[in-house]
Parts: sequence; C-alpha cells; structure tokens
Amino acid sequence: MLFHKKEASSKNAEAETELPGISRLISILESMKPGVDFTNEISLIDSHILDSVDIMSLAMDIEEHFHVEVTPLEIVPENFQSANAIYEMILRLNAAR
Amino acid sequence: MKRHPAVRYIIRSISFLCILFLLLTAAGDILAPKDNTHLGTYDYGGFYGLPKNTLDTAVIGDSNASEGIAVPELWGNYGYTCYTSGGAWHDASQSYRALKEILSCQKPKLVILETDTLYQGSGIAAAENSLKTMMESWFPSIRFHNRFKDLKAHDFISPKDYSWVPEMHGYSYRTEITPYSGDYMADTGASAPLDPTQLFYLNRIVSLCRKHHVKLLLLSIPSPNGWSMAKHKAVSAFAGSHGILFLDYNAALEKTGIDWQTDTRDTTHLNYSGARKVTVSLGEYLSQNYRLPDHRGQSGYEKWQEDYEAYRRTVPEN
Amino acid sequence: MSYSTGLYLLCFLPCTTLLYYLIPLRFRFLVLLASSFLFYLLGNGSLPFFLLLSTLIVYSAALLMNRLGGREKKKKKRLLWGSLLLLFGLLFFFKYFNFFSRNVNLLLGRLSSGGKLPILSLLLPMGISFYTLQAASYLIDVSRGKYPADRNFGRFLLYMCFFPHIMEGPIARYDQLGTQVYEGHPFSYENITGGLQLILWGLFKKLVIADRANMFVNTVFESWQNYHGFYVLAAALLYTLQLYAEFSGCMDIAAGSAQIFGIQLAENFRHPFSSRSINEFWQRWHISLGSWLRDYVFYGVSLSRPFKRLSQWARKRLPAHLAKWFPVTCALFLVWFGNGMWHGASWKYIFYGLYYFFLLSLGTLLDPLFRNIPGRLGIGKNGRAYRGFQRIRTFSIVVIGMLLFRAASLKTGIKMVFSIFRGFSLSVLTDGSILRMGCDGADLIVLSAGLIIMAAAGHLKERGKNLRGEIAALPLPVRWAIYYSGIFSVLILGAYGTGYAAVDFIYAHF
Repeated sequence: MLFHKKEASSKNAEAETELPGISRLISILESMKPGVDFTNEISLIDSHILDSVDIMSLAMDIEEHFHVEVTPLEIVPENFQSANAIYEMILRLNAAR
Repeated sequence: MKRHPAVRYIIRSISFLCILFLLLTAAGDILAPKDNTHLGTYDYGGFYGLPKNTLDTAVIGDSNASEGIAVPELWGNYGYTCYTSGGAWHDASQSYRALKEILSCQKPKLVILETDTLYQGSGIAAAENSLKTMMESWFPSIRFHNRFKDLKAHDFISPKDYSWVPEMHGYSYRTEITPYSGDYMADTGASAPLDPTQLFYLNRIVSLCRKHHVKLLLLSIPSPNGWSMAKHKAVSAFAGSHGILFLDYNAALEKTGIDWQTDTRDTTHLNYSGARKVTVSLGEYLSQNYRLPDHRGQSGYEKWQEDYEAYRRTVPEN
Repeated sequence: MSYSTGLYLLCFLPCTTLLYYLIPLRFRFLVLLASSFLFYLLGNGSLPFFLLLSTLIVYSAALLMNRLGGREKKKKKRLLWGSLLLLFGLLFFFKYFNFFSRNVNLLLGRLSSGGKLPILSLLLPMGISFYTLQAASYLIDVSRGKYPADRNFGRFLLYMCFFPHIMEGPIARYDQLGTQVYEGHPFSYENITGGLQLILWGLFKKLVIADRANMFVNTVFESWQNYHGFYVLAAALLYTLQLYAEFSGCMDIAAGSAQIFGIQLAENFRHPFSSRSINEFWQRWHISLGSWLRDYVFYGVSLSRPFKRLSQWARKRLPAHLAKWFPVTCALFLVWFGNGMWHGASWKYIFYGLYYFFLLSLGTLLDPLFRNIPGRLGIGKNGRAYRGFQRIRTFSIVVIGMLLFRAASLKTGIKMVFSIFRGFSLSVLTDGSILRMGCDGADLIVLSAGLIIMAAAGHLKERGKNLRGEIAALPLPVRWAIYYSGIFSVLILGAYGTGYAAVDFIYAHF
C-alpha cells in the first residue's frame, strides 16, 4: 500500500484509492454488534438490531474507512436495512463525489 | 347504484342516533334521583314539594341568592310565599334552567334574579358551561351521571317522589363572621360588560317571564367580593333599557343598615345577621311595589306556617 | 376550548365537518384554515399573531434558500441559522426568559452586583412549543435538500396551524402532512365513522381513566409531605398511567378529528409500556418529539463538521470503546437536555431529561460488561422471563422519571423518591386508607377496569391486531353494542361535572 502519508492525503490521493469491498463493511458491523449475521440479515432497522446511536457510530466508521460523507438525508431506514443496502448507499455516495 | 350506499348510511346514522337518544333517556330515568333532596346544591330542588300553585315569589341565582334572603321571614312578616332555588356558581344558563323548572310546577307572580349569577364565568368557559347546562336539561343521565355510584334497587323500579321541602325554603342559614372593611363600590372607571352568553340567557329569562306574565325584579345582595360599581353600571344599563326594576343594595347599603363588621360570613356571602337586614328591607320594598297577597291564615297554606314555626325554633326571633 | 369539551365535540367539529363537505374539493382547505384560526382564537384568546410570524419567517427563508444556488453554501448556512435563531428566539422569549432571568438574578445576587433582569408576565402563545419545532423541521429539511420549498403560502400556513395538532401535537413533518392537509378529500363514510370511533376511544381514556386517576395523584402530590411509602409509589404509578391515558387519548381525539377530514396524522404513541429498554420507550412514547430530536439534533450534530473533528480526536486519544462512546454521548447530552428543556423552563424538567441521558449513557458504557450475563445465567435473551424482566425494569425507570416530572420541584421530587422507601407497607391496600385518597371504592373499581381495558387494547395492538377494523367487521348489533357501551362509559363513568374538578390537558401547557 502506497498511502502511508495519511496527514497529507488530498482529494486526489483519496480518489485514487480503491473503494474497500463489502467485507470491510461487514467486519465493521460485526465488531460493533458481535453475534449478528450481517451477511444475511435484511431488517436491521425493523428488527431493532441497529438503533440511531449505532447508525451514527457506523456513519463515522464509514466516513473513515470509505471516505464518503454521510449526510443526514441518507439517514433513512431503507439505507440501513441490510449490509447490501448500506454498501449500495456507500457506492452511491462515492459516485457522487 | 350510487344512491344506495348514501341512503344506507343516512338510515344507519339516523337509527344509531335515535337508539342512542332512547338509551340515554332510559338511563336518565334510572339515574335521576327518586327524591328531590339532592337535585343540586343549596336545596335547589325543594320547590317541587311545595303545594301546587302556592308559590308567589321565586328567587333564582347563585349562592348569594341562597344565603342572602331569609325567606321564611317574608312569610312571618308579610305572609308572602317565597322560595329560593339557588345553586353554587350558577350562571345565567343555570338560573334560567331553575326558572324553567319552577314554572313547570308553580305559577309565581314575581321572579327575583340575584344578579351575581350574571358574572359567574365569561368567555369560552361561560359558553361551555351553558352548553353543558343545555345537555344536562335534555339528558338527566348526563346531569346525574355520577349517581351510578349510588344506584340502588329502588332506582330501577320506584317512581319519583318529589315531595320534600326544606324547612327554610331555600335559605341557607349561616352564622360565621369575617369582618370586612373597604370601599368596594368606589367608582374606579372600570367597566364590567355583560358576557354575551350570560346576556343571552338573561334575555331568555326576561322573555320567559313575559311569556308567563311574571314580573321580574333584578336584585343585588350586598357582597364586597362579588360586586362592584362597574357591575352595577352594566346591570343598571340593561335594566333601564328593558324597563326592568333593579334593586342594588350594594349601591344603597344604608337602606339595609348592613354592618360589614358583623354581617358577612366570608366577605362574599351574607350571614344570618346580614340576611335578616336585607330581608326586612326587601319585604318593605315588595310590599310597596308589588301587590303580593298575604296568605297567612288561608287554607291550603298551612305548610308555609308550619315551616315558618319550625324555622323560628331554629332561628329564634330576637 | 380543549378537545374534550362539549363545545369542540358538539359544535365546532360538526360545523367544520359540514362546511368542509359542502364546499367544492378545491377550496376545502380554506374551511380548515378558517376553522383553525377560529380554534386558535377561542383557545388562545387572541389571534395567532406569533404563529403567523414564525410561519412567515420560515416560509420566506425556505424560498430564499431555494433561490440561492449550490455555490452559495455559506449564505445558505447563515440564512438557516439566522432564521432558526429568530424562530427559537421567540420560543425562548416566551417560554424561558423568566427562568433565565430568575437564575441570572440568583447568580448576580450571589456576586452582589447591582443589575437585575426583569421578570415579565408573559402568556405563552398556544402551541408554540409544537409549531416552532414543526417550522424548524421544514426549514432544515429544505436546507438539506430533502424537498423543495413550498411556494403555496396557504398550504404551508395550514400545515402550521391545523387545529387537531396545534395544541398538543403530534409534531408533523411537511412531507407527510403538507399535501394531505391541502388536498380536498372526498366524503368517506368510513373516515367519518372511523374518526368518531377514535375520538370516542380518546375520550374514554381521558375522561374515564386519566381524570379519575388525577384525583388520587393530586391528593398525594399537592401535600406530599403527608405521604410516604406505598402512597407515593402508587401516586407515581397512577400518574404515569394518567399521563399516558390523557396524552395518548388527546392524540386519538386529534387523529380522529383529522381522519374525519380524510387526513392522517402521524402516530405519537405505540403502546410504550411494552418497551424493553429506555431507548425503545422513547421510540414509542411521544414519538414525534423523539424523532424530531433524533433527526434534527442527534443526526444534525453527529454528522456536523465540528463533531466529526471531535470524534477523530477521540479515536486518537481514547481507548477504542470509549472513543466511540464519548462523541455519541456528547450528542446525546444535547438531545436529552433538549428533551428536558422542551417540557418546561425549570430545573426539574432539565433534570428529567438528564435522568434519561445518564441512564442511557451508563447503559451503553456498561453494555460490554452486562451483555453476557443472561447467557451465563442460562436465561435466554428472547425468553419470556427475560423479556418480562426487561419490561418491568423499563417501566420502573419510567415511573421514577414521571414522579420527578410531576413533583412540584426538583427538590420535592427527589425527597418523594426517597420517601417511598420510608415505611413502605402494603397494608394500606387492606385497611381502607386507600379509599381516602380522593377516589372512593367505585372510582377505584372503574379506574381499574379502565386500565385493564386500555392494557388489553394495547396488548392486542402490539400483537398486530387492527381493533377498529375488527370491530367494524362484526355484525351490526354487536358492534353497535360496543359503540354504545363506549359512549355510555364516557358519559356515565366520565370523571366530569359536579363532584369532580375539571382537569386541563397536561401537555397543552408545554
């Protein structure tokens, strides 16, 4: 990996990194809430597995690992019901950058 | 096809309401008290027990009316048959209802309205209260709904027996004293216009009296906390414009000889000492301005004499 | 004029309904607008001047914001914050100025400085706590780009002053209510009857349960020094149930009123006492306030730039678990402080909010410690025993919170909490002293029956049953019997009229 100069990272540098895959997302989720099958769960919000505090925590992790900005507009149940939904949101935000 | 649902809905709604009305009326028959001892506060319903067509003077109003006139003494001194049907915090709508109830079983010649009732509430509160009074008069089940706690077997089967009359004919005898000093009738320039709802019911009282050929007298019993020059002016204006006599003892305290050191029980209501003085004055006024018959010794009026003698045993003449 | 009075139910609502369905669809919203103004005038005693002011501020700010392009982000921000400052400035002035003055004066008094802030006698404009939040939500949504600003002033004004929700909420969102309230709705027999049924249910809860429980509750809270032990616990318990019955009852009357016009208001209660955690409780109790604070304070703060910097700092300086807990807790502090403050200008309410904040943060902080205990004790986390334990635990926390909420002051509240443990004895239930607390035997029986009915209804709805729909599907004599029982319960068993003190709606004072 060539990107050890974290402090000096500019937008160009960020744009060059590949977007981490969904496995990174799942490992983040699992460390946040161990014991949940994030690969298959599709009603994370409706089943109250993730609450608003978790979502904020997740949003910050997403920003750190995926370098996309999560805005309040994105905080809707549909975007967080499953790992896939979350990753789709990340892809969308990444494309819009 | 389009008309059918609408017709069905209309029929359904109307029948729902009709059955509701019937059920409420039936519940009213059960819930209404079977005797007239507790139809309201202050011996409100006692006039029902009076011998038919013996009542010449009816007094309506709030607690000031009930505590301000020593009714039996009007019989004792003049032979006038009088009953006070007052109620705590009664406003004009409730005084109007009292009058209607009295007129349903008696034919008084004179109705005295104690004017404090016209200032019991104003604005939205008065409108709501008058709506409540109206609903209560249509549906005794609402008026007496709280009696569900006291229902006994006889409420379901016995007929009404409204033959009770309180000894003091609606007068509430009190002797406590709270001295008052001050000039509550000073003209501060303030105004106290009659609230629209109260005025509405006052007008209805006026028309009801006219319809039954009953004279109406507006009376204000002395009350430091209750009355003021502003209220005096407002009611005088009404009385003047409608040709009704208004006797305001607050504006002429010397007529009664009221002494605020001894005559009020809580600076709002008169005690017996004050009521007696007002009654003396009122009796004189009535004898000079109205041709009310003296029924002492007449047959059919024995109950009045009996009640007066019982009253005198409780309140000795001094 | 409040929602449970004859004037509203027998005059205002029927007349408005009649007028609404007589006028052509396009102009029906005007009937709602006019009657909302009338409602405000009758309830507030004066025209909605300040409501109009707030409406104008937000309406114009939103339009201006839309006109500013994407490049003028700073201008947009300044416009947003300026308008919010004005909006909340009005709320602050009416609601909190005296609290502010009193405390500043206290402080200045200690510092023996000469100045003193005046204490003004201000009357709170009706609904200001509710419509201010509504207006702010609209403006913030527009600034976030959720939907464009509305040019239609009539529609926006109606959203703000709509009479079913002006007094006690629910705090509406523009995308949910704006179109609904403006569109004329065609006559629907189901809407009218469904709305009336909902109103009946709300009246039952308010008049039969809440106003009756109030007699007992008042007796204890008005002279709390004379009571301790079971009495205080019972009063706290009954107050919790009273507040729920009254507030959710009012919401039912509001929702029922709106349904008569074909409008659906947002849910504000979802059987909160089946909650298994405080978090869940606040997602089921006064839902519109909780979600407002979540969407606009919690998310707004957490996703803001300064806050992100704070979390980055935390990640560098604090151990992993704390690094996540700290920034979120800061944001939550604002949320709960806001919750407490919103209820009123008093230390008692602020403490109330922070009470929940403390418990929630503690819970999150200690979560890794307690997470595995049930497993180790062999109790299934989804087993009935554990769920029951969670429900009782949550309910107890809520009852203590409500005790503080209702107490005359913070000091009194804390004293009352401690007094529960003094001389606690259940013998009061059997020696007849319970009958001298403002409720006689008949009252207690009716109250218990009402509470059981309310609990049963909540339980069935939690299981997913649509009670109104199921009753409507019953044969006509049966369902009419149910409706008549409802009407008679309210009219005969209602705690109104002579012998009862009229009870104001509690949340109308916020």
